[in-house]
Amino acid sequence: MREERWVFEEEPTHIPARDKPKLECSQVVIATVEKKHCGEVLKVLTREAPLGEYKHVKRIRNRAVEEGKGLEGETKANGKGRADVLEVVVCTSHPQEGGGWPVGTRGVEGGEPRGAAAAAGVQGDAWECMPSALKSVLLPLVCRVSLAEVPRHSPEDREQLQDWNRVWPVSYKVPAGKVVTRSAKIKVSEEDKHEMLKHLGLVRELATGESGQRREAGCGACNAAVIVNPTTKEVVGLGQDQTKSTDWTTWDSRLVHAPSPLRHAAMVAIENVAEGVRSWGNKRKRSDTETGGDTAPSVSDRGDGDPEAEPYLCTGFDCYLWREPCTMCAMALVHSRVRRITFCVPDPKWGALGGAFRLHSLTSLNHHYEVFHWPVIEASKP
Amino acid sequence: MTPTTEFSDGEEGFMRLALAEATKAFGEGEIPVGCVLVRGGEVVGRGGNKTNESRNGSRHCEMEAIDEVLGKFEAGSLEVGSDCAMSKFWSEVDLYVTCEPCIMCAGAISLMGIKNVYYGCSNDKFGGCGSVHPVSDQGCGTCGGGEERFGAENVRSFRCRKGLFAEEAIAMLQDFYLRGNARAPKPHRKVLWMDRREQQQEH
Repeated sequence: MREERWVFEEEPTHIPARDKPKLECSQVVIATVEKKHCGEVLKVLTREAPLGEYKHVKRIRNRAVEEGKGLEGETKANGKGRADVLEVVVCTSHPQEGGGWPVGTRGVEGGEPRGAAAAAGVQGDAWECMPSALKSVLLPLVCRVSLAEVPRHSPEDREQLQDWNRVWPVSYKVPAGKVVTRSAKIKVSEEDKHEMLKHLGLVRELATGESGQRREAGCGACNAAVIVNPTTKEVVGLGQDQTKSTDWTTWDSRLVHAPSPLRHAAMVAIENVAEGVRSWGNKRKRSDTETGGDTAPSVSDRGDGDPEAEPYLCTGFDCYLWREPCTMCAMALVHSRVRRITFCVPDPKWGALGGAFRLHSLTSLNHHYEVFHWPVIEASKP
Repeated sequence: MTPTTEFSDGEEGFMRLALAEATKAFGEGEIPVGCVLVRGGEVVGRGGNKTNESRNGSRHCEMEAIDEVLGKFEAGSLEVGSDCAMSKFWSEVDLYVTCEPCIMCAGAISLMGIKNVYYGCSNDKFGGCGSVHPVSDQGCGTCGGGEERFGAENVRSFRCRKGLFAEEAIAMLQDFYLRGNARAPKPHRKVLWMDRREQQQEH
């Protein structure tokens, strides 16, 4: 068997239909606690000030370890014995709107929000931010109380996790496998993943393999798209990038002998599906006038209504691409009413489904699909 | 319904031709949007929406008109050979369309290297020239892994001028939706094969 240059990773990543969250910070009160008191402090805090909507924030930070990783921190002047203390998030520095975390903060005395600049060396102020119930319990257990910033929201991916951890350690839940999407109908089960990989294998072959069409197109690095009917699991259309091709045919059979920068893989694949629908329609027209006994192709059977009804564009179909689609292709797939898009190679500069922006987050569009990124890694060369 | 004075007689004339393409599309049961491509004061391509006939949701009038022009290259009616000449050719093409190009078509316009677009009414559902997403400013890249596009690398944006015969373009779309789109899935309204003007005469 031939060694593949590109290898699929194990899980796809769902790209949600909202803009990527930006780093926002909230001010919190933190306590410096000796390791031996940590257990007790946590017990109190879990009971008196649960994290609520700050569940992504790790309650404890080991400053020594964090700094060992090369993260920014205070000067080394106070370094002695630091390994023996931990920093613990106590509560927010001001009451939260609509309750939530931390429960106790309603009892804040003079609880004005304080700027980050004021935080340095204002132990008194930080102490005043704490609810009185906590003060009395924590007084004998903590060395020092101060203010710090933590990320307000949970990071969306590993990259953000890494970035945001520099502010304060947060956690990130790998979403794949348990994804509940906008419609809550599309979940990625093991069976689904198997199916996705099968079609992505074809996409990889069309985009990077040694297929004749590709050589003919003279395309070094290509894109390919495959459109699948998930009900029948059959490929209903496919296309390779033809932007370098000097000979191609329009949908209405006109020959063109000039290259078109619009002959992207997704556009060609959509055209391929339409071709199937048209020929099915023509066949049916003929059989209506003749005897009947028409065998409707798989393209018509979507399991969502009348199998005799002509399919409408690519409604309910899934599209697999090697590269992240550009703006034109991503919008063409919206017009085609595709159900789900999965691509492998992201394009941070021009990609329209997470790279440069997220087309599917635009709420005014009349159709929305789900988007998955299935990462690939380049196999190390021998 | 008088056009504003911002536009020249020539520009109005070309938009009238685009409206004629839209009317033709309407007669063929297509969404009535039309466009013409103009170079050096001459119409080099024209097209109407063909999404229904082609069963392809991406066959908007801009795509039809662009492919029409590309198809002429073989016939020798346009003397264009190298990629460089292609770039120059397309940078001199003006596009007149009755309705704001959608996000897809705005991407195509950027990829072709067309620099000037005139449109009638705005499209607040799909508009790619600022109404929904500013593709006209940001441009569109390629997703084929190379840089197969016309026009200079740095210039992907294009200039838009809107409002030329906007009312006429809107009236035609209203007529269409009043009639109902025969091919839309499970039509919400009954399809009336009747012109709005005929209806008005009945009343």
